[in-house]
Amino acid sequence: MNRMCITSEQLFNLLLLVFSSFFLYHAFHITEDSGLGSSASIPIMAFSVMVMASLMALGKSIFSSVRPVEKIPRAVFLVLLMILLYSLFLEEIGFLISSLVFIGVLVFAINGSRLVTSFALALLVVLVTYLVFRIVFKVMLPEGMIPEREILFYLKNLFN
Amino acid sequence: MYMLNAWVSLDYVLLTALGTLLGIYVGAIPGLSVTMAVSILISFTFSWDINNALCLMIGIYMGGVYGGSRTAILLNIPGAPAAIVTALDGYPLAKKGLAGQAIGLSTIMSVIGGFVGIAVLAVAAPAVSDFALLFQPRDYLLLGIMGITLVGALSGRSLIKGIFAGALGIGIGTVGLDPLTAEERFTFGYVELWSGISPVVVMIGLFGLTEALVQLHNLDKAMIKQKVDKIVPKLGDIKKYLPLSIQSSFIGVVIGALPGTGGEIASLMAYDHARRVTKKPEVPFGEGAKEGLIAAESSNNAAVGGAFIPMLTLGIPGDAVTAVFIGALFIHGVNPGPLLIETRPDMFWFIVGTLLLANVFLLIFGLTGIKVFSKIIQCPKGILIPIIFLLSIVGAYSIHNSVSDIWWMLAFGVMGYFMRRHGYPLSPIILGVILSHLMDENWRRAILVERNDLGAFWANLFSSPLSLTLLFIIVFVALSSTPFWRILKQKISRK
Repeated sequence: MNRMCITSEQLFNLLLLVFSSFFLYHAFHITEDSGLGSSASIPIMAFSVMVMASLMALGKSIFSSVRPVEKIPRAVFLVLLMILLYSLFLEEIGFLISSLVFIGVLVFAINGSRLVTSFALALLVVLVTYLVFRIVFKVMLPEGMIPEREILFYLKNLFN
Repeated sequence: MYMLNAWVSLDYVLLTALGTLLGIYVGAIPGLSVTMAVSILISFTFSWDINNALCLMIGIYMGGVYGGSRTAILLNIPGAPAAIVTALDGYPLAKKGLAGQAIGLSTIMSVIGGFVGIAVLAVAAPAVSDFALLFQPRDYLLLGIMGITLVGALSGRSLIKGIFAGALGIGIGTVGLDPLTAEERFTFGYVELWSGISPVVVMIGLFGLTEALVQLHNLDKAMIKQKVDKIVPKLGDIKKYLPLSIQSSFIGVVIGALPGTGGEIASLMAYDHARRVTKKPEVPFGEGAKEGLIAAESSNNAAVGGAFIPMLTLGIPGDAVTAVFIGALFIHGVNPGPLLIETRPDMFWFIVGTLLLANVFLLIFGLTGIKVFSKIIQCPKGILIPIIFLLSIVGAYSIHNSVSDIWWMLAFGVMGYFMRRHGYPLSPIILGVILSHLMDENWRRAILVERNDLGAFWANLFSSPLSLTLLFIIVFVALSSTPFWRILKQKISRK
């Protein structure tokens, strides 16, 4: 267990070191100008600091005592997967349906509510979000499969 | 006169009221932070008039700092870091059946603290601004470094990790076309990256998504119910504790004005002050001393006014929330800095007026609707967290109506989650993103003035008292966070 924790922290610091070195290398190739006031100067300084700091953090994680790291709950992976799927299908399916499925599945999985309750709650949340952001704040949200504009136009006509 | 603008328009008054009310709930619900709320909200207010956006965001900030105390008192779970100290005496008071009194007293003292903070902002900011006009480009560079070093040193357990986070923020801020030479920086041939990475996406990822992911670790914490009555405090109590409240407020405003500090440190210092000046408390500190509650609440709300001083006069954010505010002002075409008060006095006094208005609403909402509040904060996290995810996604999408912003948000959210797991603070990242432009521009101006001569740069730096002071502060902050400092202190104390 402890061995896993050490590996996790060391691995993360190592990844940060690789990440910083990669960008430091690219920072040196931003411009041909080698002057101190060139467009590459601040990026070189920033990524040099990152390389040094990540190197020190890695060294510290190797030589100091183990800091316990909590296990990642399965819900975290589920949420990340759901956000990825949501972003992939958002424009195709539209805000209303994709958000309904997104919230419904997450409330069902995370809160442990019954499926019907989860989706009823999701419907309420999505409708309130839509009303606040789309209708009041005029934020553009993808329509997808539902002809929202036509529906809104029809509803508007009903009250006129 | 400009200050009155915030009070005469019904739109501004309603938005400030709405913001304050929302802020109280956002600040109170553990897992929702003011920074998270303001970050998500920015993206929705792009198309708004700047004054409307400011009213809502200032209300949320003011309400949010106070709101954290509610759950600290009722549940022993501080809704915000600034309310950690509030829980020390607030929760013991609630356990004795005095939750209503504790909430009432904390509301009044928060409002007093708020007024002191705003008064100091109104008086001190113009003077600081005049002084800031004397700053050379190298001083701005040093101020930027000082802000990041302070936040890096104070927001985490490790200075190295704090500095890494700050440098990462600067690196992220440099992505895109260089504003001076139009050379591509880290765009890897993608035209979409020419305009850089939106700071708002970074904010939503780090403070919205990351925070919500971290909250998934504590889903099963049960909520405790408290009896809440007699909320309006007695006049005698207010009079008795007023001197301590004002002293704590001044501590709060001074600490709040230092970049990298904020309500959390302000309340700790004020609590310590209260312990020292209160010779015979009715109840010992930590067991329900009203003095402890008053010191914490007065100081953390006074720190809000203080945090606006460096932001509006120097363009240096005091904390993560004011960094988000600077981002919002930039988006709306306003550049905070020493010239703001001179060129846009209307904007400065409008902010002061809105802060005052938000403080008045804090008093109204703080003393009413507590019973409804107690029910709402018991909303299960399993329902609340998916809603935060949805709002973060909608917020990121609405920046450019583009799915790629959701992916960026996701990337920053995941990165932030793993950085938090391994003890890296996130506030320096956003501070770095916001300050990278200022530092980049001023470093290049400073070095061009010296004709690319690093020796002349250092010589002038050492010959200027202001630059030297700033450099000294940076070195001091950095050194005081290292083990060498502790060893040095031990050696001195032995002698």
